[in-house]
Amino acid sequence: MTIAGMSVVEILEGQQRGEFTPEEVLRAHLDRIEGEDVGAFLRLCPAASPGPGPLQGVPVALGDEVCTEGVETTAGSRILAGFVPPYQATLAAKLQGAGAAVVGKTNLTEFGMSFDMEDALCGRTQNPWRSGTTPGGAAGGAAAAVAAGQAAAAVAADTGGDVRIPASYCGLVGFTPTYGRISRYGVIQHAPSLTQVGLLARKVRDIALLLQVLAGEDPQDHTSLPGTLPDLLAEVGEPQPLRIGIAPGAYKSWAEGEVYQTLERLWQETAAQLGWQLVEVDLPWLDLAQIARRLIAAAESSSTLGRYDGVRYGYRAKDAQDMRELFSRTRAEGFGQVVKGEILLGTYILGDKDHYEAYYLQALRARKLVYKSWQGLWQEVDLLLTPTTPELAGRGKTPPEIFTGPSNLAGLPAISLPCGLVDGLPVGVQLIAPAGEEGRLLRAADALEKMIDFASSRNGGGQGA
Amino acid sequence: MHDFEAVIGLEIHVELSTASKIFCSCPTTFGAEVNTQCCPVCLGLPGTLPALNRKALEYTVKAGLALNCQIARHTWFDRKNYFYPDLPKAYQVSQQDAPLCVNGYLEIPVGDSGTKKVGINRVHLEEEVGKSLHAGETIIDAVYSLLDYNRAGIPLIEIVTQPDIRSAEEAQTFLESLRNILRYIEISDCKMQEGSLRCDANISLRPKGSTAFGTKTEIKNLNSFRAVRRALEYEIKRQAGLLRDGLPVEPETRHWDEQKGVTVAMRSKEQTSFYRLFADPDLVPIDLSAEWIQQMERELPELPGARRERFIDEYGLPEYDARVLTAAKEMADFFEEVVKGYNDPKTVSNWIMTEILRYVKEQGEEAEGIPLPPASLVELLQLIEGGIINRNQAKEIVLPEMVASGKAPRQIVKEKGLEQISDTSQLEGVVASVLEANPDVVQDYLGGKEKVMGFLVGQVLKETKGKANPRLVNEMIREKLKQ
Ligand SMILES: [Zn+2]
Repeated sequence: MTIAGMSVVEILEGQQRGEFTPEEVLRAHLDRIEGEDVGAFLRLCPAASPGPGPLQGVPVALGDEVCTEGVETTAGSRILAGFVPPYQATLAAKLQGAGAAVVGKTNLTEFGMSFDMEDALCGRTQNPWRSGTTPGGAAGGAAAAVAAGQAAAAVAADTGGDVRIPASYCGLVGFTPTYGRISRYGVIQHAPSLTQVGLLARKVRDIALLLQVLAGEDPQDHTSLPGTLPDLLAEVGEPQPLRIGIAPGAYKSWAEGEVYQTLERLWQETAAQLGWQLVEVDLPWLDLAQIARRLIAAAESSSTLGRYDGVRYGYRAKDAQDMRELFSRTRAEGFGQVVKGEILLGTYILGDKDHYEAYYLQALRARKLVYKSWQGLWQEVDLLLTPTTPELAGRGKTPPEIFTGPSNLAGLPAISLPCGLVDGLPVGVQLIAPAGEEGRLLRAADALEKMIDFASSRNGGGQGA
Repeated sequence: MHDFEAVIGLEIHVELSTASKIFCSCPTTFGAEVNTQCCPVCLGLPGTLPALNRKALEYTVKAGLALNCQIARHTWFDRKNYFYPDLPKAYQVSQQDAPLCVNGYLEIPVGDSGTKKVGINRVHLEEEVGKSLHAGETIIDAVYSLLDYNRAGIPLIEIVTQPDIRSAEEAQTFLESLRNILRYIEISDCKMQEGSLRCDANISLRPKGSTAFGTKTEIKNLNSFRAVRRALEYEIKRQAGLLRDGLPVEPETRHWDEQKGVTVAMRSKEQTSFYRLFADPDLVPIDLSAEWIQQMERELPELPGARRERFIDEYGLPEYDARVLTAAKEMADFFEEVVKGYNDPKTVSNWIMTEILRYVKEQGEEAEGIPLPPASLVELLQLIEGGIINRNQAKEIVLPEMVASGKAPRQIVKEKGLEQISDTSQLEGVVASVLEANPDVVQDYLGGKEKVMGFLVGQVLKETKGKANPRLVNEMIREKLKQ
């Protein structure tokens, strides 16, 4: 097995056994970046260098929404072209402190506002499993980089499935911890109440390792969670008897047939061996959650993106005659269509008392309802198992975030694992846990991953295999 | 012809004197070189987040408690969205639906001995915006504008009164009382000329006796207490004129023009935008425990009202003295320090209220405080009591020099050669020659005219250029004329 394409754990163990050095690991991944252009990276970090620490020599890609000191950071938008942060995102500093080598910044849809990578403004990113197919979004570049062996892991923002959807499309593990578990400081966001910093890797154990490094309260993020996690890696590996919720009715109605069948086969074949008790539940609020999430994201975006006005940094319209023209032309020329649409929608629903009542307040009420529904669900089950996406990559008929968005509304931890191939493209299964139960989630995911043995199910379709 | 009553409410913004800004660790010092006290957070750079300064929360709650407010147990911050170059994030973090403090009042003096409660609608915490300087009248027709973000992110409280104020003078008194109390609790330096206390006024008129509200205007750009009073006096006259002529008062924002002494319409109130307010998702809601609020209450220093009562009880001061002395914290502190060294409260009070206050007032309404240390006044009073100098010398020569040069009174007395001659052997000759030169006056005295003693003492003082100790001279003359 070549170095590029190894999991984080394999890289660390290989180094420990003296099979290769951190420099060789970095070189192998940089070679892969040069050799196979899937359009994953917007720019490389020239200073990438491995150091000592728990992630020594692990090449990590960062979504371009993660601020990196001294390295241009644009969040995939023209309006931030040329913006070089004079500060480091907390997570970037933690990765470097743990010895990881940040290899580069990956492509995303503008400000991560679309799940359709076709909306990205900074070039096309290919799905390494099939050229010409989308890797999913918003973190399409991050997923493509890991899937193509250009990085062993990646970190990117997830506001409704932005990490898990591309993980599912690209045959990777995608994870979002409890809201606030990983600091959002220095992560350029559009909808802060929904944003969970997500991780992409090949294996659940990789995720546990990364989370161990990145988790923790950050004085610079008022919403970050206090308290520490147990030693996740030590705990992963023990199968546990769990009540696993499934909602076949909802899955059938939203997911395409082959995706549903893959999932059904999975739970039928593995549940007994894993000691899982399957509990059928109902998720009648999926579309309500979908609409609420959309409205809240738009409302928050219209405010959060107001700062891009051309006054202090980033793109600035030329020859504006006065303040109003400077603001309006900078934003008209600097933002793409999707972002403008979201800002208009958000301004509309917040900008008038009646609209506020009818849309924003309603969305908040719906969010509360969803939150309560989750609370009720956790009385019956320990984890919920869903398809990650309703369709395979590139189909684009159903909102891809229908199963991933609801956990963001309540800030719950969730993970997507590859669980099979349909038509040569990966299918993902998602597990969702109550807030704070990352340990339970990762233990279950690790056990399930071993049952699936996705690596040997690959039939040569992916370059990452 | 109608007789009108003014209905006035004030909105006061006060910058808190915390060491660092509300959401970052930048210093809040006034007057630093432009754009040197800012960081990625207060400049709103992409991806940065606010970290709440607990001190700002404490100061706001203390302000609320000092203004007799109820303190919210559950509160949060909202985003007030609008575009302006001095607003780095294009929203101001503020509090709309859950102000930290509500329903309070401030008791202010009215007339000679009365008081009146002015209701406090709310006190909430928000962040200060930057400062812009336009090369032109307004930002729209400016050739260019300069921006200074040093101020952006300084914690700011907004205090909104009920429309309980009935005259321009009352408005000024309210502001003075408010400034005094905020300085007492040491949450702000309240300097209007540095912008750390700013005031907007809402004013309407109604026929006396009516309880309905008239159409109000909002007056901005009030940069001193005097401006507040003058602008309101002007606006009362202006609105009364319109109403008498049967013309409507437009609901508008008006700008006070200090030079011309008039208010000018700015923009129609109808145009005020909806700020797209919503709860800021970057700041978690805050729950305050009853214990914590009690702790804040315990940490409050003695407030002006309580101190006034204590001055009456403890020092036996008249009500009037106690009120004047406690009207500014520095003054009350000064009084107590001086009394510690010179235990004659009424004498100290007289000196402060007549002599010291004169110097304070000369500095204008933005008085920096007392222009001399308490120990100096103690020394001066001891010099008078010890007969080293007399009261007139103290008031007219020594005190002005103390204020001007900062020198100690004893040194001034020495330098100016003001020590009284209290040595009988030095005075014997002068006394003898004065008596010799005025035989008629001496005869009058011996004949029972006690009053002429003053003349004789005066003559001795004249001969000694005022240095002779008058009490001693008096005794010496009596002694001599007995023989
Ligand atoms: Zn700052």
